[in-house]
Amino acid sequence: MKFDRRRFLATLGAAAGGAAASRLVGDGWLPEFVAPRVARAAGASPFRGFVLCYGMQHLCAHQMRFVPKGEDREKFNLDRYNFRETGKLPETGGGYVVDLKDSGLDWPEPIRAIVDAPFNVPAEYITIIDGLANSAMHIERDKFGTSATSHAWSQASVLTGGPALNSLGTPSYPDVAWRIHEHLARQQGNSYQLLGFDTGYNRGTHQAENFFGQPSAAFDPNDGSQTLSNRLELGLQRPSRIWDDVFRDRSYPDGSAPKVDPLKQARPQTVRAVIERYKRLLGRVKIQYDQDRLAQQIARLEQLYQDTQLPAPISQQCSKPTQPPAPTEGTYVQELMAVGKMIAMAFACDISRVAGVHFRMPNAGVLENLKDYVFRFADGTSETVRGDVHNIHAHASSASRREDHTDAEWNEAHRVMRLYNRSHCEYVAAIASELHRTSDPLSGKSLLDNTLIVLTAELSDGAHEVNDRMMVLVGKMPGLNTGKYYRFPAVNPMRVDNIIRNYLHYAPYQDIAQFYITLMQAYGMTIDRIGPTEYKGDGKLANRSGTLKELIA
Amino acid sequence: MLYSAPMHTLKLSSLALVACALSLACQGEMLPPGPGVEPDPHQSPAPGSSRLLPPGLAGEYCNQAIPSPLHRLSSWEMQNTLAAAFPGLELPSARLVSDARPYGYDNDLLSLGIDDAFARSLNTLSIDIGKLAAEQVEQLIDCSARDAACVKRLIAQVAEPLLRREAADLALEEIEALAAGQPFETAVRLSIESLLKAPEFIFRAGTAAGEPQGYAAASRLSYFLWGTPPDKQLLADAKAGRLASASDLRRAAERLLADPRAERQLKHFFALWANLRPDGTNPTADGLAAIEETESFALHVFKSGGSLKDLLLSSDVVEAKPSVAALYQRDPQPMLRTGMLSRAAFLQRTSKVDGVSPVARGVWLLEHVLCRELGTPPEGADATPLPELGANATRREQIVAQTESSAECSGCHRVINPIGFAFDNFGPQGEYREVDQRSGRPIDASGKLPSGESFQDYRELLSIIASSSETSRCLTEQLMRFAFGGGPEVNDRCLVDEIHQGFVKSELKLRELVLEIVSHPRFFKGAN
Repeated sequence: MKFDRRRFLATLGAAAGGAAASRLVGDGWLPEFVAPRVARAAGASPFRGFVLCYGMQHLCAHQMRFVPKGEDREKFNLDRYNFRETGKLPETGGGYVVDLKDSGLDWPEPIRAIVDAPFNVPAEYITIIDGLANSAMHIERDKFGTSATSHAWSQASVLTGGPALNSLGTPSYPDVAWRIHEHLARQQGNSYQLLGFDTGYNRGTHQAENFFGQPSAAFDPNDGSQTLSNRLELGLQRPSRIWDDVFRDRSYPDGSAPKVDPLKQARPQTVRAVIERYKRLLGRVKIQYDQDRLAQQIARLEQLYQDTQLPAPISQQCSKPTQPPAPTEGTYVQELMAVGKMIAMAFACDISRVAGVHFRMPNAGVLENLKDYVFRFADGTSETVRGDVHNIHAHASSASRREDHTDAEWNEAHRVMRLYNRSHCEYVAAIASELHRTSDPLSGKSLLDNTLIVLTAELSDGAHEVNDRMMVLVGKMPGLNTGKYYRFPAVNPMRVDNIIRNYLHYAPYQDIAQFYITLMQAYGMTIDRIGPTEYKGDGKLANRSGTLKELIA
Repeated sequence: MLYSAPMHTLKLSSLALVACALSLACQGEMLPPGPGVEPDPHQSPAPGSSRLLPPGLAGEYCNQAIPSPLHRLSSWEMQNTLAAAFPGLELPSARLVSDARPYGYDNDLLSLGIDDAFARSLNTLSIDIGKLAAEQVEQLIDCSARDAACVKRLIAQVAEPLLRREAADLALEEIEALAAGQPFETAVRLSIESLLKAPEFIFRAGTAAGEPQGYAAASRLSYFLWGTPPDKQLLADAKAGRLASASDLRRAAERLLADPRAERQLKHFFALWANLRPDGTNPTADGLAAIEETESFALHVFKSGGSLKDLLLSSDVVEAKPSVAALYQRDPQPMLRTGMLSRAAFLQRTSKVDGVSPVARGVWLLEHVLCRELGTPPEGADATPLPELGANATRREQIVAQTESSAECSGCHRVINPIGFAFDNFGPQGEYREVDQRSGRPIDASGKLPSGESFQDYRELLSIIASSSETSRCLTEQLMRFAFGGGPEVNDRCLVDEIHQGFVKSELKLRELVLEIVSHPRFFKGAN
């Protein structure tokens, strides 16, 4: 005899009209369809674009680093450098922050490509976060082998979203991106697509996987379904292919789409039908409490139905492409800009205001050579690569230490990495440039003002490092102090060959997890900790909390 | 721990278990007033809530038709209903979120709401099933053409089990209107999606004026005995007014009990009652084999006309998987496995990683077989290591030293421990043993209940328990809770009394208990 109906009904009675009603309703029906319409009708823009870009294993932070003019970037030692008193990071107590509009610093070559002609993205849209450590993204040893090398490799994968992710359940950058995507889509009524899933990493083994163990997916704002499957691989693809990926078979509520799905068009009518069923049920319940909550349910469904009848959130000013770009090849810059233009158009048309993009080079797998591959660049030059230098550069096992290679091998490795970096940055520059050039019909500013492109990688000074990493942000978002160079004092003694011994033991360096938390909080998510909370290698929790306070506006 | 007074708290059985004299620390909270005692004014219905109660609800109301709040189908019932509506389709499995089991059962109407997670899962499921049905429509219906008439027939066909009415009594205009003018596939999908979001599918509710009143009883009966919606025969009985009397219900229940669907549902009940499959657990293959063996045993007792005593004492053998069979073959003598509680599933379920837990076994039996509530143990009680008493001390002596030396714990443990120690002849896997592993001394499974009755081992203990009216009354309450989707309540004392009396009169035949419940007016009048 565990309960008393009278007490139960009394309890429900107290709650009737409030929480009790939600027991019947739930909020899982058509929210993605309705929210954009409601927001649009209210004159608000819930949309914040978010683009994830990452060039796995090919972005060398030390080559991207800002240094005082005149300093040798390769030999620059932060420990001995105190930039200026006023620039000290107040919360961190070390490092420095510089406004990039007048930095007095020497822009590194790859990033400079974004702000220089022909892309001309204003410096205020560039943010560099330098000197981050990675302590929360730990790997449980028994899940991923026992050798230091495999730990190093898996650390790298976890950070950048490599194939290790599925087996670990540990947050990684793509995982964070996924959470942001989903949050924006579900909570703010945005649409999202996850695009470009091929990791390009050990492709022979992992090509079929994406980070999340499921097909590329997207929300369709027409009905909130997750039925679309697009991929956008910004490798060296033809614009026509990208047009196909972005626009093909997409449907538009305004009826101007190349193809309209009658099911999605009609689905809101199911709300109407279900309302009528609820009205019928009302005649069958005998308790006032049920009558009350059914009436509330019906009222909510009526509101939901009315919301479905609001105009679609597609901007009237949106200029959707009606046909793919001409398949003829233009200059390399024109090709790049075509890519950027299509992404900008997709954003402007609310097709994919949130997207993940992965840069991928053909034949860029670890075990494959870039033999005779030709990098092209926006200035019209090109350079040929004789072979992949990944192992020379990125693995600090005994076969890959600097002293094991000739100067020629080492210099060639660095040259190739510079080519990667420059190439990736030019892609980012093209996208950012077009986003900046395109007016956001919902906010009145440029699309880049509501978009954040994040470029990251896991090579620091050459090896798969867990310390001294860099994030390059292009764009803006409310809540973040952008347009600056943050150099955190990540003097991290940890090296690849002693990860197992030490990786849980170093704090309090500014952590990539804290960057993620900062980012996610800025996007409105409730999160204060990243990383596994149960594993306590050597008695220490491996997760991290806190934010990078200087980044928060 | 939430609890109110078992209404028979003060009615001591032969076991006199409530002589436990619970200490406050062990009790958790004071027992609410028993029957006949004026309720605490702080627990009275809130002001204004009287509008929620039909007139005459004060006091006991055994034979009144008591309207219940809307009763959402449990995930188990929902999956079964979908399987009945879409035979031939391989439906997505494990898509609905699992239900809470606040009182041990997954169909508790008080906790079956629709939260966001459930709404999402149902939304996704409805889209997926709609798509599947459209793609494989020929598996569902034989249509000469894929036209509007075919869609209409399909809607009627699937709506009957989904909405638990004969198609002729289902006004489906809104659903049919959705399909009108749409391409065939779209029409099918929209119709199915809507039906799966229709409240008459999601909730069990009473009947409307002018509607055959038997429909509600038909649903209650079929979900109780089959876990599925009513079949065509039952719907026809309902429509024809053949579910209006106790004899009608008894006759219908006998038909349902003869159907294989009842076997699955009875196993489901026994598993819930004994908490053999706790939510969120993933038993090993051997563990699963043990659970299935116990479920099969309970079903065997039921089907063979067995009684509650058989459930606790029968040494009948049922088919078991090799791991369980091998375990029993190692017993030093036959007939050691008497009833459910000396079988592997119970014994494993009440063991911990480091060995058997007599306390867990005692608590389980008190809670599940005797419907006793013991309150929450003091914080940290589980984590306290057993005292070292020297190498010659048995584990039993260690446990007694720890749990019965302080007044704080001894109130409960003097009742719990003897019952748990009675099963000490069974190890953590359910293997029979005669020697205490720690001391090497023979196991002492004897004990004495607070009532003064003594026993030498688990068999004698089970004999005492099986003869107790407290036990039969507990099973009555448990099965009623499953049948009604909650309760019984404090006010239901006379209802339990009546059903229990019928159960006793039948010499505790399990089948008769089922029939007593379904033929009680409270079950079929005003049912939902």
